[in-house]
Amino acid sequence: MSLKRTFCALAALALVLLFVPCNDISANPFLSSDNNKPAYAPPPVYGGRIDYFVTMQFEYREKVAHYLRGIKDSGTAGFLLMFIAVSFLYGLFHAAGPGHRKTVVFSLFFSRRARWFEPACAGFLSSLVHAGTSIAIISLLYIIQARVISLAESENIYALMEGVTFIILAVMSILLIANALFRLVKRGGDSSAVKTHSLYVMVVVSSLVPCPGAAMLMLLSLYAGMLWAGIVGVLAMSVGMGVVISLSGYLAYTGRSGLFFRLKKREHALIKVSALLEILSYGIILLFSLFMAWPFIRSVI
Amino acid sequence: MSRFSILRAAYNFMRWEKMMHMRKCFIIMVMFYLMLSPQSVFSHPHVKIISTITFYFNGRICEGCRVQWMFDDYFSASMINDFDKNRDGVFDERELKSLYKGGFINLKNYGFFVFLRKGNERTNPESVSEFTAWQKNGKLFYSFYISLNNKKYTDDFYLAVFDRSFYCASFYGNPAVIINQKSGTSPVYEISKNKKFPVYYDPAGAPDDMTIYKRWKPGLETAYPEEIHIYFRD
Repeated sequence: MSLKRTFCALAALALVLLFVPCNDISANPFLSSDNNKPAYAPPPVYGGRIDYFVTMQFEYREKVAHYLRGIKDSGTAGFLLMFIAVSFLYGLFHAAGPGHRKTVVFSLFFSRRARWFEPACAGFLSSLVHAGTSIAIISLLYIIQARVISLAESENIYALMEGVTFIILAVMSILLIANALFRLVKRGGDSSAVKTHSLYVMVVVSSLVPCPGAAMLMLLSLYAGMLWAGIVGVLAMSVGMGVVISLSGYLAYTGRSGLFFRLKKREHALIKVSALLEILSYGIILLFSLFMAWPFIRSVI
Repeated sequence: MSRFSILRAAYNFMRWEKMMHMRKCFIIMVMFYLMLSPQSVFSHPHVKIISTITFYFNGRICEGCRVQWMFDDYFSASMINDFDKNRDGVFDERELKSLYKGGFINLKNYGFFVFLRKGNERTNPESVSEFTAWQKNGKLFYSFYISLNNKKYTDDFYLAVFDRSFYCASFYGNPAVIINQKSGTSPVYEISKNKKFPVYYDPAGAPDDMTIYKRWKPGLETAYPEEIHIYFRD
């Protein structure tokens, strides 16, 4: 399937999913819904502890707010530089926590041979798309509605887009598993003819979700009447997130090289193991996507 | 360079190569654990709550407690933007009513994030009173009262502020506890995670299923909220 066709098919699927009627799939537990039914907390709720990353994330998030206020009150360059620096650090801690497509990027680079710079490209592409979606959605709604959207509204958009993108990712995983199985059976797993565009399509699709941390920073900046500061902060944050996401790609890249160290002289075995690893990785992405999309699926059925 | 030193260098290089391979394999194990462990699908807490609890005692009987929450800058800004309609920095009576209805009372479905425990019995308050809210330096504060009259919270009991939906990360403030004693000796308190009394809940249940289970069964998640233990020394 060509890149153009893939995009068209995915866009069509996204449109269908976005217009599927669904209940409140994610809402703020503080806010009452219109029909007086309880508003739903954001699933999945496989929490259990407030760990180091969560604590550090909150700490840096507060520092970001502090320096944002400093820019507003004093307007000095010092506050702006500190704001950019802490936004970058906040991005690091934010991405080190749950989510942010680390599992997807990791699995993708575990599944295939890549050039040395590709994990960095995929990591920064993912973080830019993830953070950029927040900037685009919040700014667009701000311009269209002439008001700042509420936190609850942004969370609902996040949950909806997360559900849709993970369903698309699950569909893509099934297609790629089928493709890898076909190659394994028919061509002994030879992947020399496989194009790499599916890797970047998966990275982009999985990241097309407004980052909740970036969305909160954008909203805070808009409440303070400083849209430009929000955009600068989110971009600095996305660089920090890109470092962590790239690292997950590099871990897989290094691990794969280590795994294939002994097999490098046995080309036939290497191709077979490579194909099996590809199927395993897409299988992990498929399960992960279905798990993450479950709240959305549950709200539709 | 002697033949011996060349051999030694070659041996060292091979050993280094082997070590690198072992290191890489070790990295694979570590990264598999880190990337694919259940933690990677844990939910983010979006809001930070800092609680201060004031207990009202009459002798050894606790008549009630007042819960005060301070929210983080982001949640505060969002709620202030939505409910302080005239932007005067104060919630007037009308705005407070609107905030109570639109931004607080839904918490009854979540037990107001308050867990009370006396011995083995753990409950959530069904109702609260005296709700009020204010803002200071851009932060939002909530305060509400939980009546414990005729509920036998005497001598020794526990209270925890915990959101089992993990939308909020709950921390205790400084001070975490204020004791208001009408007569007699004041109780003391300790804050710790009690591993003997976890909270069990169903993460895959219906969206409005906020049931807290008393016993673990397959499919339930376990959480250990930090409990405030109130007791008398004598």
